[in-house]
Amino acid sequence: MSFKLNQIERRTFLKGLGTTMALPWLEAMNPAALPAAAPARTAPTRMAFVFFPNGAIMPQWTPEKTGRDFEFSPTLKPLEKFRGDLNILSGLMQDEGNAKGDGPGDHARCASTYLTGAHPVKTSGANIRVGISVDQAAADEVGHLTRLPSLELGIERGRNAGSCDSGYSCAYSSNISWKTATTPMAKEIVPKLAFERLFGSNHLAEKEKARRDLYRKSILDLVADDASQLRKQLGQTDRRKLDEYFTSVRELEGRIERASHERPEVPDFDVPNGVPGDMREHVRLMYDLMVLAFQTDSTRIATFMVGNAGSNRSYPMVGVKQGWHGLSHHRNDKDKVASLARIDAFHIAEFARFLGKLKSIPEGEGTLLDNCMIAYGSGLSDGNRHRHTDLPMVLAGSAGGTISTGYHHRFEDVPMNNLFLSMLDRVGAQIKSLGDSTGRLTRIDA
Amino acid sequence: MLIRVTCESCHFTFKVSARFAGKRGRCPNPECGARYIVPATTDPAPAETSDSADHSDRPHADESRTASRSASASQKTRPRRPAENRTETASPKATSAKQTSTGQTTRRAGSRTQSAAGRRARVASATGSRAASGSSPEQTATARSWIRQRLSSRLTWGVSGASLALMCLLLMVAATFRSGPKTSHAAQEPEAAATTPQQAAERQATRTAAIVADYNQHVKPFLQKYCIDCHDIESQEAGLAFDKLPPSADSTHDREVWKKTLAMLEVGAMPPADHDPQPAKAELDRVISWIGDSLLPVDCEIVRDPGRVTIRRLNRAEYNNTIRDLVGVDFRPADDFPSDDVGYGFDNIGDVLSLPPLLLEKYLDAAEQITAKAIIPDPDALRKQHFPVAELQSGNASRRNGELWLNSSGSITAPIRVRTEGRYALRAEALATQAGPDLAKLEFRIDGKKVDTVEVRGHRKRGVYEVTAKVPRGAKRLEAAFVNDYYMPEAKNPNQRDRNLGVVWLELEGPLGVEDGGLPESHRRLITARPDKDRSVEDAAEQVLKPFATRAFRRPVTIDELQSFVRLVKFVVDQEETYERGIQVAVQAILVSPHFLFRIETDRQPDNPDAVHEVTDYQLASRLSYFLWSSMPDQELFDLASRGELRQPEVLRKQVQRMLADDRATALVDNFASQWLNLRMLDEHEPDKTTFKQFSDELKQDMRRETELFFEEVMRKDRSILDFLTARYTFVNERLANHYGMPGVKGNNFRRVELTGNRRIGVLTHASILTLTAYPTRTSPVIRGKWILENILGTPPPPPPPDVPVLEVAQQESPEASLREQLVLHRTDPNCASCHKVMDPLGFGFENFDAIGRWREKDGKHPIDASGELPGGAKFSGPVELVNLLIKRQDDFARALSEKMLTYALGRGLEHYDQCAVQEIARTLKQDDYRFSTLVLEIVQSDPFLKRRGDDGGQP
Repeated sequence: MSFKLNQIERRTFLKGLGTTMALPWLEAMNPAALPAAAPARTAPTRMAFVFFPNGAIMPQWTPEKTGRDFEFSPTLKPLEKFRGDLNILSGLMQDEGNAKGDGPGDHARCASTYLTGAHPVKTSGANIRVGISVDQAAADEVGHLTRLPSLELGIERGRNAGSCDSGYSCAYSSNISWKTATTPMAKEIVPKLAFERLFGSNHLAEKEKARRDLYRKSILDLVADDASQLRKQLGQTDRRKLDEYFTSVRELEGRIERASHERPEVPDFDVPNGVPGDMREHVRLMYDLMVLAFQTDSTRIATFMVGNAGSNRSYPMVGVKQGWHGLSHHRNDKDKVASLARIDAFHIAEFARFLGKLKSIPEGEGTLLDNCMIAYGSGLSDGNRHRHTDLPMVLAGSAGGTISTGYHHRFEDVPMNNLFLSMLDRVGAQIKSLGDSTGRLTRIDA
Repeated sequence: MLIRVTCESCHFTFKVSARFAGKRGRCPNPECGARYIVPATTDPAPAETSDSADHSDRPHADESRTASRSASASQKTRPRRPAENRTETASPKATSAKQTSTGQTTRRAGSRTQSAAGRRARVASATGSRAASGSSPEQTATARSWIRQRLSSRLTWGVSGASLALMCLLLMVAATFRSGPKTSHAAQEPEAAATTPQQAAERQATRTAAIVADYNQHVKPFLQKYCIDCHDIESQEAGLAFDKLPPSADSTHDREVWKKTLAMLEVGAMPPADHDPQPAKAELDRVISWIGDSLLPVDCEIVRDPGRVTIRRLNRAEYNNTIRDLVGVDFRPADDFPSDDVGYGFDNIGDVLSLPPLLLEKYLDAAEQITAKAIIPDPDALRKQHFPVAELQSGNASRRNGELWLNSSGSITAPIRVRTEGRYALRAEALATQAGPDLAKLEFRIDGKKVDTVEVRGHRKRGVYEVTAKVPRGAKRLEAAFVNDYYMPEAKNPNQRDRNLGVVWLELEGPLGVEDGGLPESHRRLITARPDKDRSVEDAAEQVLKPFATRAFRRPVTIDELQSFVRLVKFVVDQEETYERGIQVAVQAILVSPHFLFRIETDRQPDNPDAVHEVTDYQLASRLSYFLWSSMPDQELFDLASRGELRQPEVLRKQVQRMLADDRATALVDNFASQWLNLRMLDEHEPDKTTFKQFSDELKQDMRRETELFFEEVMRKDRSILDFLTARYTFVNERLANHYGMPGVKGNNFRRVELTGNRRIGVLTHASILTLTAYPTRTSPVIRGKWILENILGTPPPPPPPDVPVLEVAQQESPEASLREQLVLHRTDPNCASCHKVMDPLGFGFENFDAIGRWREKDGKHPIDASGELPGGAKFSGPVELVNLLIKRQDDFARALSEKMLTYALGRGLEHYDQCAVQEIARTLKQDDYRFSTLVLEIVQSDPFLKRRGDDGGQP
């Protein structure tokens, strides 16, 4: 698929990002190019999953009333101006996050179950296994339609010493996206590198790029051959590791193939080198990159961790000196609860800013936000008691009008993965079940 | 008589006994393993004993080599005795018993008979030397009661019948080793066992019989009476069915179930309080003891399992270092890679290191960048850079007759590339129209700076002008400037009116006097051959890539592999690219090959967990170099490996000492020490800046540096590892000294200082560790205590149960209490007391250090009370007294450090059977006054480091 600009002045569509100059998704804007009889093509649906750690202060999160006439809770207040664009979903759960005989480690389970709905094997290393995550299930089906099958972002590196959570490998705490049950998708935390991943780094001439791609393909052919020879000599655990390698080779081959048909126009977007020292700026840059990725249809699937599971960063910008995780075991201490609510509100405000950007970009008859499904939530509700039920969840965007928005829905212990199945339907990934799903979340259907 | 065989697949040549003529075998090259048929005879090679020193030249080398290592340190240094001597003392009974008792029928008949004598010899040798050293009974006894020892060392802290503390400690022990898949299969590998197979089998049978008898007498009735109601095959609550659980811990599953059972019984969680009847204490203790002391411990005489390491992807540090040593470019490409996930406390664990598409993409990018830096794709073009008139640029020149004319002052430029600094020839073909008193002057410039000036002679006469000058690396612009314009339109002689300068071409050649044109070191090292009239592209590429791929793969590259890389070079050259460009692409392929990115160790029987064998010499070289250097083996290790000598105990010892003295050993500080002591966590740790105004990033770096320098001191000077706890010296610079309140240290450089008084002693009082075990705003005695238990004593406490109303209650009851008083209150809850009684006092001892490691006498308004009592009743006040109590548990510390370092060295989590190796390492370490190099050497000579086995398919 290729999206070419004709007579339209591109800049008019890019106000949302001010300085960007990317090639937006524009098929619907150019109906003249389509045969008259063909049905008008709709914009693609994008999906993103934002994860925050340590749960939330739920009494200040959950609106009191349900239905259409709910009032925004103190924490969710910044989202009020998007009332018509989102739903608040209460009562969903990730039951597999519960110990089920595995003892402590709720934070590791919080992140690893969030998008998988599968129970992680408790291990410090050997035999890491949870389940494929919803974004990767989508990428498997529709990832080939864009240059990047999916984009994984975060702002915290994985912890690099010590243990992460009660006998769980750090892989469980620092990833929410799982390509397979055993391969986590490492996330990019450096904005510049994420940008280069989306749009390429060097400005090689067309001819040189073609040359390089030719060599890259030859190299990948060769090493894939090597790997299949090698595979025969390995034991089964090693074979699984080598299969990760294979999968990555294949995916990279696919990307080179697609990239040779369609060269991204590099947006004029100011990305600093390195990791910004200011967390707010860092979070904003990552959100902006997601906007850019969706706007240019570089990918339709993204995940973003605003913190690793059990993150203990402090939030001096909102007057919180103590670490988030330490605070989250607040035992109803008023000051701690108030600090935590401020952290929750900080992240909601940044999320609102992100929605604002998506909404400011026209696409087809509506806005980019209309063609999105952005899930914002966590695998823990009450961080103090490590509850994996009644999870906080905001679903923004109507997926091209297929989700009826403006509601606060309350469910009674329905698997979160039911929501995910409904989302997968809307990106064109028809999957029977995912993790512990028991069906679809039809109540959000338009 | 021996027959020489050349493997058709990899061309490896070796010899086999003539007895095997016509038989099938597998190529002994560990990287190959192809099947071959021994030729029918003819051309017999000179007869040799089958015990030739070059073991890599024999088939089944891995099987026929023995675990020459035994518990006795003396044996390690003992030279191998001639085969004849050993054969004399062999016991034929042992050999036959081995074959019948193992039941291992899969081994080929050939190998069985072929090396029977040799094996007999070795078995005898092993038993003989054991007897000689006299260590056997002692070792056996120690081995068997291993867990008990760990317990009793804790019990010396005195549990005084307080069962809660005991529960906690028992839990820690239980949590220390994850269970593994096998307990007895090593007994089937007779060569690896120190006892004869028959003895081993007998021991195992006796042991099993005792366990079963005990089970029938005490345990089974207990289970029937108190457990089976809920945990039988019908109900299976919590997935437990005791009526089908065998009284053995041979399978991972059963072992896990028994461990879980033990934990529940120990904390008194089962049987539930409302169960009637309740067991008597003696009854309960007997069952606990049966599980903990009989069933779960490992008999090291029977169980000899070296374990198996999953193929390890190079982590970021290893990648950077390997590229540095392999290619010779040091620019840390992996710093942009996603962070490596951590397992078992380290980021080099094969099972945890994954390879998602993002990373492969980065590898490919990095390979391109590396080759771009290391190899000049067009060295000829760079040698003499020639710019004809069409490629010259100028702001004010005009073109006439294939010349570029400057009619007024100005310059003509050419875009040059300069890879190395040196003397270059700058040339121009120029001509001039002369006028006025002087000749036209041409000034050569590099990047706008004047180099030299020449006079252009003749009128409209072309000539070549040359100057030589030093040109800096990276220069971009060669200029020919016209600097003495002359224009006198009214001059009478029309030929005297206008002086102009014309240029035909510019050229830069050099650097001069350097044979290969100043190519970078990496280029010269790599491109050892180029195609010419006598040499095809393929031949040249093969000559270049064979040694490179061999080093990159850390073992000899096979012919097939080499050919595929050579074909790639040819393919690129066929695209009308230079030969060097072709090499660049082939090197990229090598750098993203699984053989480079992974450290691969293959087995002849990859899915047979009973097939124990030694790793090859090349693999051993890599194990050593990645352990001590986080990088590839150097030439000396390669050479020793290729000669098959690396494994010899004396060679190993020398190599370890050489490697520890090498600069590259700082990798052990950067990667092992920083993870063992959690120093890397300082990166993310941010003390609150308003509470601690004097805290800065510089101070944080200094803190880390202190501990790193300290570790390096212990390593380089081969000091006792006990120094980590009790050293009365450390390293500070002015900033850190001020932080510590030490006068008289000036400047940014670190220096060694002696410690006196009752404040600082060993790493536990380093600001780094005191800071990373504190909250951003305050200290936490609990975290500090837990840190010591985990990292120093190797007995991590079990995690807290969720939602204990701990400090909340205490705070409500006495909101004004100090932190310490609150903690004391919260220990009145028996649920918490058992563990906190152990943890908290350790932390209290360091309360004089605030959350950034400064000494203090008060915390707010509360005076600091740094006194405490350990569970055994030993009292202390302050850090120095506490450390002096801790040092009494030096055995625990030695074991804990051995476990950590073995984990790091192997790149895998330790399994229950690794107890044996750990115990042996720790014991020798103690005998050798805890010297650091002994720790490293013992690890390197341990079974798990020297051997491996086939895969049992991972844990269920």
